[in-house]
Amino acid sequence: MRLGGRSRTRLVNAVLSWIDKPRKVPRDMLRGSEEKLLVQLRSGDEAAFSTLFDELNSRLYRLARTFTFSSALAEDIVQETWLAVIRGLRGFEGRSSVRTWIFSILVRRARTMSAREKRRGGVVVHSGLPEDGSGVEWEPGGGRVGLWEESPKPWHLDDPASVLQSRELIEVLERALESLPELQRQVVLLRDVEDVPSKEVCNVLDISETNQRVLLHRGRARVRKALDRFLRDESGTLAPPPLWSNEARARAATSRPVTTAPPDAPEPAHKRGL
Amino acid sequence: MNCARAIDLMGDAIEGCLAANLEEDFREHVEACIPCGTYFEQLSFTRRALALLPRRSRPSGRWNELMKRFKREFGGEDR
Repeated sequence: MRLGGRSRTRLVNAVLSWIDKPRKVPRDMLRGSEEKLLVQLRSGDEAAFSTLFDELNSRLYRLARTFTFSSALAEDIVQETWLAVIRGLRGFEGRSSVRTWIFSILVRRARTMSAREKRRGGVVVHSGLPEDGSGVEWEPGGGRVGLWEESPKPWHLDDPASVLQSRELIEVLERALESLPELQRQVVLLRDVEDVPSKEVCNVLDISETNQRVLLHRGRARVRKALDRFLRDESGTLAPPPLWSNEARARAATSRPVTTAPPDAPEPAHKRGL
Repeated sequence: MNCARAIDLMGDAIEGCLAANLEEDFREHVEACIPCGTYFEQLSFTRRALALLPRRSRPSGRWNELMKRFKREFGGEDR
């Protein structure tokens, strides 16, 4: 089963080398200038508050929507969060980043407000149950169960940045993210989309590191599956997305689908009666 | 290293926090095992793509109220 091919080694090395590198462009402009920002805010600098608002408001709304189907309630949650930020700025002790502090406030507000709304009879809280009809979730030690049934076929995609120039692919990612169970979505949103450090994600959502790892793996796996579905046509072959490079197209044309299952992978879920 | 162990470690590998004593075995496995290697690449790709999702701007109709509260809370200080 060992390939030993230079191309696979090169590809794996490329993946690992990317992982080791810090992101070139920070996800937000707050980092590195937080002390200055806090001084400005506490001195009543309206431009600084406006900058903070522009930087975070849409992201707070996206996080709020993970707690509720109601756009109106999500807007209320965001507004209440901002009001709490204004009230709390003087007392903020800097134990986390400003952004993480604000996300934490939002999560607390969202939990309280969505629970209150639920008690009133509004159906606004996500169920937390798998929404794709599958009852099988990946578990540590479970191998590929809950992750893939047939061996994954290479996508032959190059840079995600260029792929994301495709509106369709962005929508696939957005929809996949939105369809995740509540806590999975919150973890993936904070960790992968917002790049909040792992420990801070645990603090914001009040979950253990182990739980976070499992939720993250499950969430990413579901998003991967959605991408995989999109990239294949009905016959099971890889459909070229709009922005494939010529090189990738050539590789796709000459590659053979992989049909071999991992040697020590457990039986597929349906064969084990799951 | 078997597939189940490699899959368990993929999250840490993607985060760049794989324990040093596991790195070599993990690398060997994902290089040698086609399904795990492909899955790992796709999982990494997925994470990178999520990190690049564009933000949707969302105008707030309540901005004026917030600015009013901000001015009330901090207005006049150091001015």
